[in-house]
Amino acid sequence: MHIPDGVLDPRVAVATSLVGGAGFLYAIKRLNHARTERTTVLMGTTAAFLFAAQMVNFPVGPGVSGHLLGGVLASALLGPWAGMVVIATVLMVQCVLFGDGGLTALGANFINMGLIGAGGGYAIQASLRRAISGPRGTLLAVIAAAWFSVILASGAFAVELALGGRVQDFPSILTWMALVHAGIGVGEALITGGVVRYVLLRRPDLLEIADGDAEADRTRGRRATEAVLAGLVVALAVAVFLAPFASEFPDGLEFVGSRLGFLSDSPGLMPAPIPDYELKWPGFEHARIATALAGLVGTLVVFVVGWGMAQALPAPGKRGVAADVV
Amino acid sequence: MSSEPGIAPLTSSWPSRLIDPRAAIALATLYVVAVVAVPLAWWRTLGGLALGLAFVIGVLGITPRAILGRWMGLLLVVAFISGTAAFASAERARLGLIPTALAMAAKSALAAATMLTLTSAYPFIRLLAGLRGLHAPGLFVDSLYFMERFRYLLVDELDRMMIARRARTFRRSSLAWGLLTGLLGGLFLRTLERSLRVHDAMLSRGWTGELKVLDE
Repeated sequence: MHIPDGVLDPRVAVATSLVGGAGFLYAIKRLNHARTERTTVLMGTTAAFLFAAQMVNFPVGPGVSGHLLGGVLASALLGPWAGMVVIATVLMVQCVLFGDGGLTALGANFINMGLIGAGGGYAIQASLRRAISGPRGTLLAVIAAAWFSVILASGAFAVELALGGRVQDFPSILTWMALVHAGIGVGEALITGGVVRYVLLRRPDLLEIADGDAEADRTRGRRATEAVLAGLVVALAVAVFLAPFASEFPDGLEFVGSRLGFLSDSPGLMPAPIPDYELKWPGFEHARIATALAGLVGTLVVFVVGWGMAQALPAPGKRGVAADVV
Repeated sequence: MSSEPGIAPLTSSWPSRLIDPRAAIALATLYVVAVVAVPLAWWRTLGGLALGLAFVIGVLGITPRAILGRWMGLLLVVAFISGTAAFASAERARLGLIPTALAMAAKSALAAATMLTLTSAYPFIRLLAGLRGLHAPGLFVDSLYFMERFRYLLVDELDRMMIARRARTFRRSSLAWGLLTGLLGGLFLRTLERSLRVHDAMLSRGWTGELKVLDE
């Protein structure tokens, strides 16, 4: 997800730098209005945490691993504007200190992970929070937002590549990016949900969007169920919509990977449960059907895990009991 | 402040003392823009730029080992993304897939080496002062400063948690997702609470937000 220098078309690099720069300055302007003495301390700590968390890769398939993007986590903890600036901070340090991500691609990386990841992710979670109250709603909202933010960011990367290249290859690039990042999104959702759950239990005051409303009325309860079901349907539809493109990829990008050696050089830490995003079940040998099933399974796993984590939270009004991990 | 390879110590070499960090940031940015602007497959131009960078590294007195380890670690990521981008590049029809990917990877690797050279020559805090001098938003520079400072708090807290876990579980096995994310949440809260204490101590000792460099 960290685009290096020299990959984007120079015109796209200039355009994304302008858009990203404008978005960054607007976030700074909004943040300056609400700045307190401790704002930069909270942002610095969150940035340091995301920086460290991004260094830990998790396997998402054979030869492919992912890492936390953290946009939704940052915006959940600090709000959208601070979340965006935190992502910009992390990107700047990674680029300058570690050479990870290009200087001329900072704008594109900020658009993908800051504007879309933190800003867009916040919009998704805030919308869900309006329908689902209480800490359970908060948790479900951030989990769903985390998954969608990764998919959207990968889509933006595909657009940035296609704008400077061959437009006819856009569907292939988009599908490949979305499929790989659907797996990364699961990891993003699990980590974001886990951290937010812990913070909800120990320091719910830190969560900018957690309202702690213990008295959700029945109407809101029905709206919550409807919202959850609607979100699940949308997620499943996205998975099924994207999956049929997948069969075009093994020929194209696996060829690139094998010729350049980047697919065989980075084995996953553990065997993937759904290798190649295809379920190898008897009777499901057609690649499109198998990949669509894999997308469905991945989406359902995110939903079930998120729902399970939310149910494991103490009911509103009861005192949360967090396990002291140390 | 820093003992990591590839990051400059507070005592800078003499060339980096002579050149203002604002000028260094501007020069590095111009160099990276030049590398990115070179058309694909202009190998001689890229080679000339690489030689120029090698000369600068030599003049600055940076040992290649200081940046080589981190730079080599980036090559796999660069190769992956370059391969993907080359697939979508319009230049693929003219140059072919592999040459396009290699040219992109070469430009990326050269730009990354430039940034690693900059941070090897200048302490991070001097670069922050340079950014402030270039009129970067103060809120952003402050966040960068606190991020760099609290990165070490976070590592310290992580060490403590690891020691505690080993002492209490008597084994080192892989962690379940639930426990792992709980540990991450705990690490975040512990670091946050400690960083707020550090900030309070800084305020009580007269911290005004002004960055100071000890070797000047």
